[in-house]
Amino acid sequence: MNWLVAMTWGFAATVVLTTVMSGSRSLGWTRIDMPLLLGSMFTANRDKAKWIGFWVHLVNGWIFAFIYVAAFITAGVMSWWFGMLIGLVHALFVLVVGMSVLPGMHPRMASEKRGPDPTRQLEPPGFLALHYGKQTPIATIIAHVVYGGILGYFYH
Amino acid sequence: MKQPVNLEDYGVIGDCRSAALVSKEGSIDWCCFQRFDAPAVFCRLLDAERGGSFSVTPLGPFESTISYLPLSNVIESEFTSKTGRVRLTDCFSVTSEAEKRAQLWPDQEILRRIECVEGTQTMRMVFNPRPSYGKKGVRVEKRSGWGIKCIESTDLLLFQTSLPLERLVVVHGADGDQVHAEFEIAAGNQIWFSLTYSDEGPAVVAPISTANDRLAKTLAYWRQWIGRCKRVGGLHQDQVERSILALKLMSFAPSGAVIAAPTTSLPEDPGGVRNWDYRYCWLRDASMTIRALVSTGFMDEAGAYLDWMIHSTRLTHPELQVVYSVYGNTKLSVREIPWLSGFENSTPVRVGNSAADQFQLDLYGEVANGLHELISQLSHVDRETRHFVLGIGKAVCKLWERPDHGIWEIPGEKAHYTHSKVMAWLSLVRLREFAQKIGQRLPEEVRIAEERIRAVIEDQGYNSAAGSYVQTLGGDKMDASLLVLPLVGYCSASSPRLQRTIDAVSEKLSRNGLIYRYPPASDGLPGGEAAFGICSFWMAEALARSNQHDRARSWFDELLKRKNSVGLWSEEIDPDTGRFLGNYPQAFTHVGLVNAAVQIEKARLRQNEKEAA
Repeated sequence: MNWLVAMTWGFAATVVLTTVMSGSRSLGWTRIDMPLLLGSMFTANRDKAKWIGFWVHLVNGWIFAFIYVAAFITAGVMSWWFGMLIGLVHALFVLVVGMSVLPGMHPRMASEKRGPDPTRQLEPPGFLALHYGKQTPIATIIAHVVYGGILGYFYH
Repeated sequence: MKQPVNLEDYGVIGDCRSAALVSKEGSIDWCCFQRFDAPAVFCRLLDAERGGSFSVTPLGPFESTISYLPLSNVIESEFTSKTGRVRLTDCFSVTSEAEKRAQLWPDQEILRRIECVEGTQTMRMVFNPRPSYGKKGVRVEKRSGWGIKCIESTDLLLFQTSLPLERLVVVHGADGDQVHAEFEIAAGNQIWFSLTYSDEGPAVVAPISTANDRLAKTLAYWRQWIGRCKRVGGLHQDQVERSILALKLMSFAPSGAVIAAPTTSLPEDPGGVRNWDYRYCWLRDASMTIRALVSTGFMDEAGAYLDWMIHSTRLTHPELQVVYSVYGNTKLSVREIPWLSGFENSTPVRVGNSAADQFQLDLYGEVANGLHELISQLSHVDRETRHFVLGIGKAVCKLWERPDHGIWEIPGEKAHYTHSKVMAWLSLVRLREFAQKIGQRLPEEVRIAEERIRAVIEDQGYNSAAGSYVQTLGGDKMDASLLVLPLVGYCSASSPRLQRTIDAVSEKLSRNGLIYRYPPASDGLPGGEAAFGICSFWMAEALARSNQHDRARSWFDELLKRKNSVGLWSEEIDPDTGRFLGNYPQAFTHVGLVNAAVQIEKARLRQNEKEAA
């Protein structure tokens, strides 16, 4: 494994993924805010949560870059399209499995079964994170496919 | 088959995700599980034959009453016949999140307890679930030792009873199954029914043997919750508490949203087309709802609503949409349900709401004022909230000169509504106050817009010939929304202009102690409508704020006579018959009641101080 290349392009791909997700919010496609979602696991202060979440997201992106690269090497395919395919699977996993278990593991996220106790916690994402906007799955898939595409194209 | 009884004979039960309407005759005629806007499983209210219901009623003639157990959202109906007296207790079982972490609790459960108080009584139970708004029936399966199981797609309905299972008769029909039972109950005996819903497997099955424990916990939960209600003083505390309990049932706990009403297509004009879906969240209701919650001490609920408001509007920021779903979804496409005959043949039955496509300028003032109610009590305002509030100001500066559909969502041509301009002005006032709090300088255009809007309202929103503020700039029609002007601090309720406006609303829009929102049948829609619940409470509040305590009190007391036996209110009331119309119960009307009661008490205290001085 070429660690330097994986680290460099893992960083670049994560920056692009974060930008795509953030841009989707600004365009009104989705309300999902990954830095807030991750950072609020550590603090209730929203401003701090976003900052902490940004770094957690970045580190996550790096870690996943090595998993992608390991997949390229073991499959013997190093190509943009294979990276995009892994990105698609990754996004689907996040949307279908990750989002459904998140309320159970996140200390500041309400469950869909909550009530009547009121909540000032984060609302649950729901199936495919649709509670954060109907185009959230599309934005998430695009971001992850681009992430995988970048890694697949640049890793040799 | 005859239609169900009138709306005023219904009570509501719920768990802050779903709600059900229970009739005085012991029938659950409306219920959506999972969330308020999910397809109904019982909707006999909208079609007596196809809608489906879950009834437990005496066999033979009887008389009945319905009421809430004190300080709770648990309903008790009492049936009296020649042979005996029977009580039916109904609730969604609820408990705290802490309790749910300690023991498995069913996702959602309706509990029904029959107890015979005197003599003996033969009862008849019919369980007729019709998922998807009655589109289809379900096949049911008797499970020995469990009860009756119905599976619709991946959702499970489990029906349990303390009756022996062999007493349940499954009636197979071409269009789905029903479960029937006839049983006799003698004094001192109890029979339980439990209906649990789950969209996950394995579902939590709550044993019928512990139903009594869950009912006790439910009662304890509601009593502990309403025990936090601040005393407003005066003689209206019980009504305020009932309204707050009703409002709580219309809040959606997972997101903090508050819906307008838990029903769809209950008509404003029976037999007509004014049938709308109110199971969504109108930003129009924001500031008044938050004021009602804050003034009664429910800061957690008010805070949750504020959070919902900030996040749900993210998709349309900085512009606001009229109505959102409980999770902030913006597309609420309207679809008609052609297989339902409608309440008293009021068709079409609609699901979804087209108000989402309208433009209402007043929203900005409502939201800014709601934020103001809460933010003024916070020591720290996070960046997202700051961004949100400043965004509102920008949007208003851009939009205020445009015509809109107004607070009443009047279809057709947009107009320059006076109330909308007042709320636009208010949003900029709140923005200025907010900017001062966080030490931020505002662009000069905000101050200029604030002054211009006020000048326009005073110049064109007031009709000198009529001697009052009027519905539209340069117009001459009256509108009850003008009563809101002193309620949001636009002007003093004692000012001559407002006093004349109160008199004009009273003269032109009131009938038998109730207020129409605008001259009936003047909105371009076919058919008419009744008096509007909250407008009548606005009148009481406006009078109280103008230091006319006795007049306000007298108006309010007369108004309270219109409530039904469970203390709930619908959207509209027929001034001649007292009949409840529109979706029911209506959060906005209950919010109006609470705010009016609070102001009347304040007016009483002011009057006492004045007299003492």
